[in-house]
Amino acid sequence: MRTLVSAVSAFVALGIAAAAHAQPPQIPPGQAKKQTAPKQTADHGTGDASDELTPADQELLQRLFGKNESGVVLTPFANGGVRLELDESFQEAITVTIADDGSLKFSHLTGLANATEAVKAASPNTATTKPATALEEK
Amino acid sequence: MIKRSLLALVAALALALPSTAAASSHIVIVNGNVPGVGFNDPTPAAPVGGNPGTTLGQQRLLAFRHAADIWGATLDSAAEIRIFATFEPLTCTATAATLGSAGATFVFADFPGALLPHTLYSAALTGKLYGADPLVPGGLSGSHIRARFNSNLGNTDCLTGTRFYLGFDNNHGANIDLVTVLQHEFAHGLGFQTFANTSTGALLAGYSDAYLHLIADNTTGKSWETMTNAERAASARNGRRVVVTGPHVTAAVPSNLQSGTPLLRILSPAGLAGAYPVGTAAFGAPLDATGVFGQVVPGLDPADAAGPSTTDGCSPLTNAGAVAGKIAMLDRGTCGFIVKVKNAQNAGAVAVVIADNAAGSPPAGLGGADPTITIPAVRVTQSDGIAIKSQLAGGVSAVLGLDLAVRAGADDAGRALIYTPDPFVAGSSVSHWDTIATPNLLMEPFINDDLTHGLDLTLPLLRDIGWYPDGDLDFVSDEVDACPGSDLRATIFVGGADTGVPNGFFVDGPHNGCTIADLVAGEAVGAKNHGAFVSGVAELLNDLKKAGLLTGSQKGAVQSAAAGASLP
Repeated sequence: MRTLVSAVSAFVALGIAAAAHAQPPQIPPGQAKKQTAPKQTADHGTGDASDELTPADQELLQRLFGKNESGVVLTPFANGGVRLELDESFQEAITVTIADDGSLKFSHLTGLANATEAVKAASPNTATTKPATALEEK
Repeated sequence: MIKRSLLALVAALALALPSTAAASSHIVIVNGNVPGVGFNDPTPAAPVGGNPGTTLGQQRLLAFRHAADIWGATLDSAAEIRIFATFEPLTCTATAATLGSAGATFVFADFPGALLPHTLYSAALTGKLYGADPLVPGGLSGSHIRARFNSNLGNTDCLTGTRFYLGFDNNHGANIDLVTVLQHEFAHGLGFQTFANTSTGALLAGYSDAYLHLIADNTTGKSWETMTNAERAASARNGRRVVVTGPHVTAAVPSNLQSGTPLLRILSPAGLAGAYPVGTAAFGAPLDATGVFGQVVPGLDPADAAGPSTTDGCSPLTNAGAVAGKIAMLDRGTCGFIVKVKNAQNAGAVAVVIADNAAGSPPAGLGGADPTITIPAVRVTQSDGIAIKSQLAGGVSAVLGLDLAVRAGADDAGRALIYTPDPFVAGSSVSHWDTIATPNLLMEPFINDDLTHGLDLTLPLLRDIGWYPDGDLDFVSDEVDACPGSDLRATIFVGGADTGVPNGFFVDGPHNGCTIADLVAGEAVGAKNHGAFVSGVAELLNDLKKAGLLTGSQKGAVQSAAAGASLP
């Protein structure tokens, strides 16, 4: 007897996942979507150590610059699925700064708005322009 | 009866499956720029580094396509992936700039095909698992990933002179390799990111996500899914002790990370035993694979003008008898690291461990220069230092060195470390590999010059979150698919002839991922002649009929087609 027969109990319909195709979780055409404006916060750099800020201050700023969870639009579907629409605050943004030694220092931030604030805050007097390889000596 | 009903279902559902064994995925760059700007910038440009575009806009678009094609060639999905992209002026100054941003536009949970319940998947991954596009094409809201990049980079007062390199050959020189940046950002959009708030630990709308599902903390031994918000927030700051548990990533660690991690390995007492991350010194002897073995003892010095503590090592040590030949432990503070280490060396110490005096992890390196220092020195975190010092009275033995058994960027168990520094770094923490990884990885928080357009540990991570290889798009991973190139047509074809008999599919056992058509075709492989093929098919069909998977007439139709086929 072939192993085939012993495997019959596991013989099921072609494409289990294909069963879902009859009801794809698509956005209904013309559906109005709620939009929430990204948070606008004070002009401070984030993602980089700053000599002027205490760790507690940095934590606070980073929390303020976090993802805009309250702006997420959640849409449930009849099949039990849900869709969450993410705004710009969930985007992974990347910035670059030219360090004093000429090297490029990259930073990641959550949200383009935060990246904008970080770039504005970056100046020769902040840590963002210090060489990344500098080590504490005491 | 049940088996027959299954077969009937096969006939209905087979129509919904793709009919071709098309591997890879189709990633489309949706040009969101208006005429004359961004991807449509008509500024003439000379082809560069394999990019044949003759305008700036063309080269930008081709670079996007090149990066998308790299991912598209490795990820299998029946659903198209659309990236809505623009080049536009983003914030910049002469010395700093926003390069761009990217990420998923939508996430889905609890859809048919989802691998885990109550777990968020990026829109692109949802399409793969679901087997169909979850979005209606058209415009930004019909795209799975949003990407925007800075069109002014390199212009005056926008990182002046430093531009995106648009070639495909990674020959970027002092410029920024756009393909590398895009590979990185696209990976985030494909699912290399957690949607939880890593600062507070809160899950997004109460849902886990496919990335978060893989994260575990070595200190608590807990997975992120089972943690409270507070525990997750703490774990996001537990430097060098948070790992990805995905099997594909772990299997790929040896081939992507080199051997050797600087560690302080405590051997006893048992309650303290384990590997402790260290920051290495810019002075003294470098750590080596042999390591320095010894008892760890406190270095004691007077509380004086040089240093107010008896453990800061700022003055000559007073317990040279105890320190000689041992690993001296000192506290950071007041004087420079080289002063402390030199005092310990003068007392006969064979190595120095300096406990940080400020919270933070992983431990930073020790700066300073003194060519007369010949012993190795390292820093441990404040919390590790407190733990170690609390046991010194009872005796602590350790080895300080470069542990070749531990990969650079992995833990003791060979699991890749993710970036969880303390202080927390918004935007970088958790959704990147740890920066200790050597060689550098695509998804470290920094774009390193030595990246090569490779997908290193990033592709295995995407595999672990659900981008499993599936060349025939039958929803069975090629890794366990007995027929990775299945004939998924709705009816059984034999030698090019359509029998009209519904095809069927096995999802377990030795024929997992095979269709009846595959098994019939398989009889031709190795058959000595046509007669042997027909005989083999007959035996197969008898088995299928006995199992109730074919009726007598269906069996006859397939058998007849086999007899008439020019096989093998």
